[in-house]
Amino acid sequence: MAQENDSSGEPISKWEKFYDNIFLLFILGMGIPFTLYTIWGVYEIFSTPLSPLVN
Amino acid sequence: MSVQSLQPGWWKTPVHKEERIWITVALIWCILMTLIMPLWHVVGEHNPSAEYYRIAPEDFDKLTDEFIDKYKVGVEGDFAVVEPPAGADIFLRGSQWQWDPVLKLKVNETYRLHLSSIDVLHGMSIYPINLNFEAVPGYDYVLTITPTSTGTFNIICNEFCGISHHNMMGKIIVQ
Repeated sequence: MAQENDSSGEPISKWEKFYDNIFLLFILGMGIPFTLYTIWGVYEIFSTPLSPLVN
Repeated sequence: MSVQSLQPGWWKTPVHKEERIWITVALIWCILMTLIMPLWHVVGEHNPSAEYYRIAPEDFDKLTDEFIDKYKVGVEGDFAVVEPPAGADIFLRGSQWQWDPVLKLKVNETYRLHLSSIDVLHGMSIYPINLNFEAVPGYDYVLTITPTSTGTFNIICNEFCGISHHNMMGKIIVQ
Protein backbone atom coordinates (compact mmCIF):
# COMPACT_ATOMS: atom_id res chain seq x y z
CA MET A 1 0.00 0.00 0.00
CA ALA A 2 1.26 3.49 -0.92
CA GLN A 3 2.74 5.63 1.81
CA GLU A 4 0.36 8.37 2.92
CA ASN A 5 2.89 10.75 4.51
CA ASP A 6 6.40 11.90 3.65
CA SER A 7 9.39 11.95 6.03
CA SER A 8 8.26 15.24 7.56
CA GLY A 9 4.86 13.75 8.29
CA GLU A 10 3.00 15.85 5.70
CA PRO A 11 0.45 14.11 3.47
CA ILE A 12 1.73 13.07 0.05
CA SER A 13 0.42 15.16 -2.85
CA LYS A 14 -2.14 13.55 -5.18
CA TRP A 15 0.12 14.44 -8.15
CA GLU A 16 3.00 12.57 -6.56
CA LYS A 17 0.76 9.54 -6.09
CA PHE A 18 -0.36 9.85 -9.71
CA TYR A 19 3.18 10.04 -11.12
CA ASP A 20 4.35 7.18 -8.89
CA ASN A 21 1.70 4.87 -10.32
CA ILE A 22 3.64 3.52 -13.30
CA PHE A 23 0.93 1.09 -14.37
CA LEU A 24 -1.66 3.86 -14.53
CA LEU A 25 0.82 5.96 -16.55
CA PHE A 26 1.41 2.99 -18.87
CA ILE A 27 -2.32 2.46 -19.42
CA LEU A 28 -2.89 6.17 -20.07
CA GLY A 29 0.16 6.30 -22.36
CA MET A 30 -1.28 3.52 -24.50
CA GLY A 31 -4.96 4.37 -24.18
CA ILE A 32 -4.91 8.10 -24.96
CA PRO A 33 -2.98 7.84 -28.27
CA PHE A 34 -5.01 4.76 -29.28
CA THR A 35 -8.30 6.59 -28.71
CA LEU A 36 -7.27 9.90 -30.28
CA TYR A 37 -5.61 8.35 -33.35
CA THR A 38 -8.62 6.07 -33.88
CA ILE A 39 -11.02 9.03 -33.73
CA TRP A 40 -8.75 11.00 -36.09
CA GLY A 41 -8.56 8.06 -38.53
CA VAL A 42 -12.32 7.50 -38.58
CA TYR A 43 -12.87 11.25 -39.08
CA GLU A 44 -10.41 11.28 -42.00
CA ILE A 45 -12.10 8.31 -43.68
CA PHE A 46 -15.55 9.88 -43.54
CA SER A 47 -14.47 13.47 -44.31
CA THR A 48 -12.47 12.59 -47.47
CA PRO A 49 -14.58 13.47 -50.53
CA LEU A 50 -15.23 11.01 -53.33
CA SER A 51 -13.21 11.59 -56.49
CA PRO A 52 -15.04 13.88 -58.92
CA LEU A 53 -13.50 11.88 -61.79
CA VAL A 54 -15.72 8.91 -61.00
CA ASN A 55 -19.44 9.02 -61.71
CA MET B 1 12.04 2.06 -12.27
CA SER B 2 15.13 4.07 -11.69
CA VAL B 3 18.20 2.86 -9.81
CA GLN B 4 17.65 5.48 -7.16
CA SER B 5 14.06 5.60 -6.01
CA LEU B 6 12.61 8.99 -5.26
CA GLN B 7 11.93 9.62 -1.63
CA PRO B 8 8.32 10.21 -0.55
CA GLY B 9 7.61 13.92 -0.74
CA TRP B 10 9.62 14.46 -3.97
CA TRP B 11 6.73 16.46 -5.48
CA LYS B 12 7.44 19.32 -3.08
CA THR B 13 11.19 19.42 -3.80
CA PRO B 14 12.00 22.66 -5.68
CA VAL B 15 13.33 22.23 -9.21
CA HIS B 16 17.00 23.19 -9.52
CA LYS B 17 17.73 26.44 -11.39
CA GLU B 18 19.76 24.69 -14.11
CA GLU B 19 16.95 22.21 -14.68
CA ARG B 20 14.50 25.08 -15.04
CA ILE B 21 16.76 26.65 -17.69
CA TRP B 22 16.95 23.39 -19.66
CA ILE B 23 13.19 22.85 -19.44
CA THR B 24 12.60 26.42 -20.66
CA VAL B 25 15.02 26.03 -23.57
CA ALA B 26 13.45 22.70 -24.56
CA LEU B 27 9.94 24.14 -24.34
CA ILE B 28 10.82 27.16 -26.48
CA TRP B 29 12.45 24.85 -29.04
CA CYS B 30 9.33 22.63 -29.12
CA ILE B 31 7.08 25.65 -29.70
CA LEU B 32 9.40 26.96 -32.44
CA MET B 33 9.53 23.62 -34.26
CA THR B 34 5.76 23.27 -34.05
CA LEU B 35 5.25 26.75 -35.50
CA ILE B 36 7.76 26.14 -38.29
CA MET B 37 5.66 23.25 -39.68
CA PRO B 38 2.60 25.31 -40.70
CA LEU B 39 4.78 28.35 -41.47
CA TRP B 40 7.00 26.39 -43.85
CA HIS B 41 3.93 25.04 -45.59
CA VAL B 42 3.03 28.63 -46.48
CA VAL B 43 6.47 30.10 -47.25
CA GLY B 44 8.22 26.95 -48.50
CA GLU B 45 8.06 26.48 -52.26
CA HIS B 46 7.93 22.71 -52.51
CA ASN B 47 5.22 21.67 -50.10
CA PRO B 48 2.26 19.96 -51.72
CA SER B 49 -1.23 20.89 -50.63
CA ALA B 50 -3.20 17.98 -49.32
CA GLU B 51 -5.70 17.40 -52.13
CA TYR B 52 -6.96 13.86 -52.05
CA TYR B 53 -10.10 11.93 -52.79
CA ARG B 54 -11.53 8.51 -52.15
CA ILE B 55 -11.47 6.29 -55.23
CA ALA B 56 -11.85 2.54 -55.69
CA PRO B 57 -8.59 0.96 -56.94
CA GLU B 58 -10.41 -0.52 -59.94
CA ASP B 59 -11.72 2.95 -60.89
CA PHE B 60 -8.22 4.43 -60.65
CA ASP B 61 -6.94 1.52 -62.75
CA LYS B 62 -9.58 2.26 -65.39
CA LEU B 63 -8.84 6.00 -65.41
CA THR B 64 -5.13 5.30 -65.87
CA ASP B 65 -5.85 2.92 -68.78
CA GLU B 66 -8.03 5.57 -70.42
CA PHE B 67 -5.29 8.18 -69.89
CA ILE B 68 -2.72 5.88 -71.49
CA ASP B 69 -4.98 5.13 -74.48
CA LYS B 70 -5.58 8.84 -75.04
CA TYR B 71 -2.03 10.15 -74.90
CA LYS B 72 0.20 7.20 -75.78
CA VAL B 73 3.12 8.13 -78.05
CA GLY B 74 5.28 5.02 -77.82
CA VAL B 75 6.61 2.25 -75.64
CA GLU B 76 9.70 1.84 -73.54
CA GLY B 77 10.36 -1.73 -72.48
CA ASP B 78 7.04 -3.03 -71.15
CA PHE B 79 5.63 0.41 -70.48
CA ALA B 80 3.63 2.87 -72.48
CA VAL B 81 5.08 6.34 -72.92
CA VAL B 82 2.47 9.09 -72.71
CA GLU B 83 2.78 12.73 -73.64
CA PRO B 84 -0.19 14.66 -72.24
CA PRO B 85 -0.84 18.32 -73.08
CA ALA B 86 0.04 21.01 -70.55
CA GLY B 87 -2.55 21.47 -67.85
CA ALA B 88 -3.93 17.96 -68.28
CA ASP B 89 -4.90 15.52 -65.57
CA ILE B 90 -2.13 12.94 -65.64
CA PHE B 91 -2.04 9.58 -63.89
CA LEU B 92 0.69 7.52 -62.30
CA ARG B 93 -0.29 4.05 -61.15
CA GLY B 94 1.66 2.13 -58.57
CA SER B 95 1.26 -1.64 -58.55
CA GLN B 96 3.31 -4.67 -57.62
CA TRP B 97 5.94 -4.00 -58.95
CA GLN B 98 5.86 -1.16 -61.40
CA TRP B 99 5.12 2.51 -61.88
CA ASP B 100 3.30 3.15 -65.10
CA PRO B 101 3.05 4.80 -67.53
CA VAL B 102 6.27 6.62 -68.42
CA LEU B 103 5.33 10.29 -68.33
CA LYS B 104 6.73 12.72 -70.89
CA LEU B 105 6.19 16.27 -69.65
CA LYS B 106 7.12 19.75 -70.80
CA VAL B 107 9.34 21.95 -68.68
CA ASN B 108 7.68 24.90 -66.92
CA GLU B 109 4.18 23.59 -67.69
CA THR B 110 1.76 22.69 -64.94
CA TYR B 111 -0.02 19.35 -64.62
CA ARG B 112 -2.37 17.73 -62.14
CA LEU B 113 -0.73 14.46 -61.24
CA HIS B 114 -3.08 11.81 -59.86
CA LEU B 115 -1.17 9.29 -57.82
CA SER B 116 -2.51 6.07 -56.38
CA SER B 117 -1.92 2.38 -55.97
CA ILE B 118 -4.15 -0.44 -57.15
CA ASP B 119 -2.93 -3.04 -54.66
CA VAL B 120 -0.77 -2.26 -51.62
CA LEU B 121 0.88 0.83 -50.19
CA HIS B 122 3.73 2.16 -52.34
CA GLY B 123 6.04 5.13 -51.93
CA MET B 124 6.75 7.26 -54.99
CA SER B 125 10.25 8.61 -54.68
CA ILE B 126 11.55 10.77 -57.52
CA TYR B 127 15.30 10.78 -58.05
CA PRO B 128 17.70 12.53 -58.12
CA ILE B 129 15.57 15.38 -56.72
CA ASN B 130 14.34 13.29 -53.77
CA LEU B 131 10.63 14.12 -53.74
CA ASN B 132 8.56 11.57 -51.86
CA PHE B 133 4.82 10.89 -51.89
CA GLU B 134 2.68 8.02 -50.68
CA ALA B 135 0.59 6.04 -53.16
CA VAL B 136 -2.25 4.70 -51.05
CA PRO B 137 -4.81 2.24 -52.46
CA GLY B 138 -8.30 3.71 -52.28
CA TYR B 139 -7.05 7.32 -52.37
CA ASP B 140 -6.39 9.62 -55.32
CA TYR B 141 -3.58 11.94 -54.25
CA VAL B 142 -3.58 14.98 -56.54
CA LEU B 143 -0.32 16.86 -56.88
CA THR B 144 -0.12 20.05 -58.90
CA ILE B 145 3.34 19.85 -60.40
CA THR B 146 5.44 22.14 -62.58
CA PRO B 147 8.74 20.59 -63.69
CA THR B 148 11.36 23.32 -63.63
CA SER B 149 14.28 21.47 -65.21
CA THR B 150 14.67 19.09 -68.10
CA GLY B 151 16.00 15.57 -67.84
CA THR B 152 15.04 12.04 -66.95
CA PHE B 153 13.81 11.48 -63.43
CA ASN B 154 13.62 7.97 -62.09
CA ILE B 155 10.92 6.83 -59.72
CA ILE B 156 11.60 4.16 -57.16
CA CYS B 157 9.39 2.68 -54.48
CA ASN B 158 10.41 3.54 -50.94
CA GLU B 159 7.72 1.56 -49.09
CA PHE B 160 8.46 -2.14 -48.90
CA CYS B 161 5.73 -3.70 -51.04
CA GLY B 162 6.70 -7.32 -51.51
CA ILE B 163 9.34 -9.64 -52.90
CA SER B 164 10.20 -7.53 -55.96
CA HIS B 165 10.01 -4.13 -54.27
CA HIS B 166 13.59 -3.33 -55.25
CA ASN B 167 12.74 -3.70 -58.96
CA MET B 168 9.83 -1.29 -58.86
CA MET B 169 10.95 1.60 -61.01
CA GLY B 170 9.36 4.19 -63.24
CA LYS B 171 10.32 7.25 -65.19
CA ILE B 172 9.35 10.85 -65.83
CA ILE B 173 10.93 12.54 -68.83
CA VAL B 174 10.92 16.33 -68.87
CA GLN B 175 11.67 18.05 -72.19
